[in-house]
Amino acid sequence: MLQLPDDRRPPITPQLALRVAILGGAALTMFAIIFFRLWYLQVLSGDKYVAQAQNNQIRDVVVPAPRGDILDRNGRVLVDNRVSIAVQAQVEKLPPLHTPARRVLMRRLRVLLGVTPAKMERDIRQQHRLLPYQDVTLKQDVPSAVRDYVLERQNEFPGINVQRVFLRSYPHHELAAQIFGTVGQISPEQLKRARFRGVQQGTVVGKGGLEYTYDRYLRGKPGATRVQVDALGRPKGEFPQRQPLQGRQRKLSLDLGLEQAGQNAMAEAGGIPIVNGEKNRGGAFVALDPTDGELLGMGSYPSFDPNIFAKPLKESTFKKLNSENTGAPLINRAIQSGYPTGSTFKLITALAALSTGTITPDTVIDDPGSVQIGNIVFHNAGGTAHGAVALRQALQVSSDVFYYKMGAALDGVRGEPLQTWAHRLGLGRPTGIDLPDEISGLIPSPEWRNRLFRKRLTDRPWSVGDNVNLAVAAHRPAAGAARQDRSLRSPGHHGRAASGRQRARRHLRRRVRGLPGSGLRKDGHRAAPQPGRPVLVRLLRARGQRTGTHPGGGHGRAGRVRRPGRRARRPADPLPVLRRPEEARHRLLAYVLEPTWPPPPPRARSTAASRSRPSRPAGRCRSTRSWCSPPWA
Amino acid sequence: MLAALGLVACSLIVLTNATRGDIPGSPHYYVVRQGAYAAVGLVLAILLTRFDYSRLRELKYGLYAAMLGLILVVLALGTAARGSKRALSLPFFSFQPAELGKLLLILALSAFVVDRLRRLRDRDTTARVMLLALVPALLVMIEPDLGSGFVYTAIALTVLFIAGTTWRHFVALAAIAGVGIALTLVVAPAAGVQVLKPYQQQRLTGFLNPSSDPRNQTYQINQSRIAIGSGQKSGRGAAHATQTRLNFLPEHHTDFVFAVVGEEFGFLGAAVVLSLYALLIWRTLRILTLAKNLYGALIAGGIVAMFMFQVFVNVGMTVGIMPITGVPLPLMSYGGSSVIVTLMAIGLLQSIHVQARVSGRGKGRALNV
Repeated sequence: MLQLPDDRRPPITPQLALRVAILGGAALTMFAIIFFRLWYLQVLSGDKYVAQAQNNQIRDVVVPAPRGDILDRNGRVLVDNRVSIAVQAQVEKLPPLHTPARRVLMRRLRVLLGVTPAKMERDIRQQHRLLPYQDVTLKQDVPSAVRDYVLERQNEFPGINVQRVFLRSYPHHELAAQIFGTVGQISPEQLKRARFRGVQQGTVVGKGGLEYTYDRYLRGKPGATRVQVDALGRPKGEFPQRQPLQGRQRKLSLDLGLEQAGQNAMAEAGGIPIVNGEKNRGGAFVALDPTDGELLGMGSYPSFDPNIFAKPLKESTFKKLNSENTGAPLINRAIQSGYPTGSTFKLITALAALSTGTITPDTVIDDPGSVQIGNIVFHNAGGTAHGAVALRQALQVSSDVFYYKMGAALDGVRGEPLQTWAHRLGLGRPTGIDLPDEISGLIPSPEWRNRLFRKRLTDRPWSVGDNVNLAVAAHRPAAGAARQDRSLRSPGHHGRAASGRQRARRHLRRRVRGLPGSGLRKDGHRAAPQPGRPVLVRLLRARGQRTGTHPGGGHGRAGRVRRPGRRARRPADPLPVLRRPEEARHRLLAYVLEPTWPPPPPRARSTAASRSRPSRPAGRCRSTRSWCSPPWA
Repeated sequence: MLAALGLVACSLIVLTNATRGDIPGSPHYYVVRQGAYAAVGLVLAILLTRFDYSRLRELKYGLYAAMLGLILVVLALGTAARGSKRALSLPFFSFQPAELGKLLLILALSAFVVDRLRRLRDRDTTARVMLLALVPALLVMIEPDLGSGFVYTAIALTVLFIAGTTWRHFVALAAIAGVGIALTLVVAPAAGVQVLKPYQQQRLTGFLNPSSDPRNQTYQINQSRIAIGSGQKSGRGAAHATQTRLNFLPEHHTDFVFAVVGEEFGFLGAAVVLSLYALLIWRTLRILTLAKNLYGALIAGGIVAMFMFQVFVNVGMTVGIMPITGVPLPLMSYGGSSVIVTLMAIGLLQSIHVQARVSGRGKGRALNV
């Protein structure tokens, strides 16, 4: 063996021994550190990491539940669902912006969906800002071929997935669109509200109308599927956990036939909505059962087709739906606009006058066709002179002068009997109908008028003329937008007075299907017996028997509906008779038509006010069903 | 010694076996190849055992030149894998000269130190040795292969340490290293010169704050810790090791193979593997003290440094106490070059041991520590 001279093996020196020991010590320390670390990771905190490993591989995929159907009182479908396929993007899994990968993806999507990359990026930006953590819908309603294409090529479409979504479908299109309302993904603000407790992000909830009110029942329970995925998010296996549970059916008191008749009549009267054209008048109608407050029909014109909300809405379309030029179809005029009650208010005036002793049922007042109060002359409609009339005749012929004088006499009386009685009978406050965003209407009062005047919102303080106008429920002209009441309430107080029963809450619901003991409130609420009952009932009988239309006069916008069969004996009855063979009950119907839109400037209304009779909404009804009898008014 | 070697080789087979599922259609792809490499390595090791390592001392210039040459060839012709040029594509496997370089450097440096034994206290000697190590270290860092660069440095330091360089020199080296690190990490970026690529820098610092960016830079560390932690005491077994099986754990057959052990076999399995390494290192240290001449001792010292550094950095990385660098776990990580070179190193150690016994037969067991 070759041994170089200076490489003789030296006996192990103390120095070498020390250094080897140090090396060995270093190795020992190193192993000790690793052992302790392992002990810590695996034995002490192993559970935590097991959980994390589980989380890693399991993705909970929410399977949306279809919402419950909405039915009419006879079980006919008003709103249901259809299945649609949507291409969605998970924003955090998309390739980063401005990278080649992102551009490639967008190019592929453009070819596939026919949407420009710029638009998709804009959608992603906007929707992501509004609803972070939420999948952004790139395109709704794609054919199933597109779905298969994307699913088979998940690698080429990172962050893109295909979801089966349920879209609301409205088979009757414009029918009662405002009542049903719209649906949409829950917003971050809504998520925080108690009303939506327990609702997961991304759930579709009601945003308005009945969809909002009964969201709890219609919503259903989303199902869940657990998917085992690998590191790239590719599914490796599925374990269905929970089937989605469709929302409950909601049966309404609405009658589809009546609803259609009303809608057609409104369309006929209002005309086709042509901007700046002649026949574009907004309006609303309400039909209800006064005994229990059930709404049989309700509509607002112009209407819109809610099916357009199924897809992301163009901003211009949305603006059009809210614009005054098109009559703001989104507004439910039946509960969100105020209209004068018209001559039906005379009942209240009569009641107030009787209760204060201003008149007795037999007090005779002369009606020469006009009356001067202050320096303004108030005329009867059509200028007809009715001669000497007592309360009963005044109601029958709808003598305005009689009630003008009542209004003048009641002005300044302590306790404001006119306003108080109007309030007692439910005017100027919400009816409590099961729809959101109801406005409460307005009873003009000295306090209200003078407050406006102090704020310089009106040209003069309260005067006797105001009370005179209120007595026949004319426009409150100077206040501009302020109207006395609205159509919904109009049949309400009338009907309430007519039945002489307790006040029943207006409502649309009938029952929730498949839901015994749902905890729904009982229909109506048991209030105290209606004030002023005996007198009113007598009065109404009078008005009902040969009531309020006579040439140039009566114009009951709230009509009294009689039992079937009675009509034959009163062939001249001008009020609509709703004959329902299966149910012999009272029905009340009210409608209102607006002047053309765009609405006239406020000045025009002021001039109308100075006339003795306010300009009055007019309307007619054409029957489309045998039970909707032709024109009243 | 042979016992340790056999055990490590055995655990390697078991582990790689459990890890498979990556290449569809050929579940044993990696195992078969790893086995073949191990066989080649074993043959080479046995050959080296029969060979007197001392003769390699004469070849130090040739060895050193071969090492530099191979590294340069890689830089010039190597095939790129994930952005780094580390390997030469050969017909059977891609060969990583940086791995073989580790062994060649040990041999060359040890020879050089032995030559200058008389002048060991000179500053000059220390500087030259470090320079000799830093040249290849920097070259492999250019590839870029930070891990191997650090291994080279560690080898040089240990060889000097065993040879008996004065403490003062180490202090000076530490100071220089400190300044160098400060320069690369703080001053150079501030001056606009990027010495390290951003990903390298983030890897080096990311382990200090693992939850900072779980999706990107620290993803590997997090997943690795989850894998090891979820193994708990006795492991989840190969079938339920979801981290490994579903690919959450990146590079589970190479750099993160220890995390696989942790997940599948738990604390017990990890402890067994670590014990095997401890045994290996202890045996190497023992051979160091038994070596018949200083050259053998230095070679053993270099190999110890190589093992210790790689084991500590790799395992430390998987448990989240060391930065992520591409340092393989000797004998465990999949990779032909690493396995063969490690087995050759063990063969060399064996040779030292055999030579020590041959020359020490007359002297008895006086040299035992």
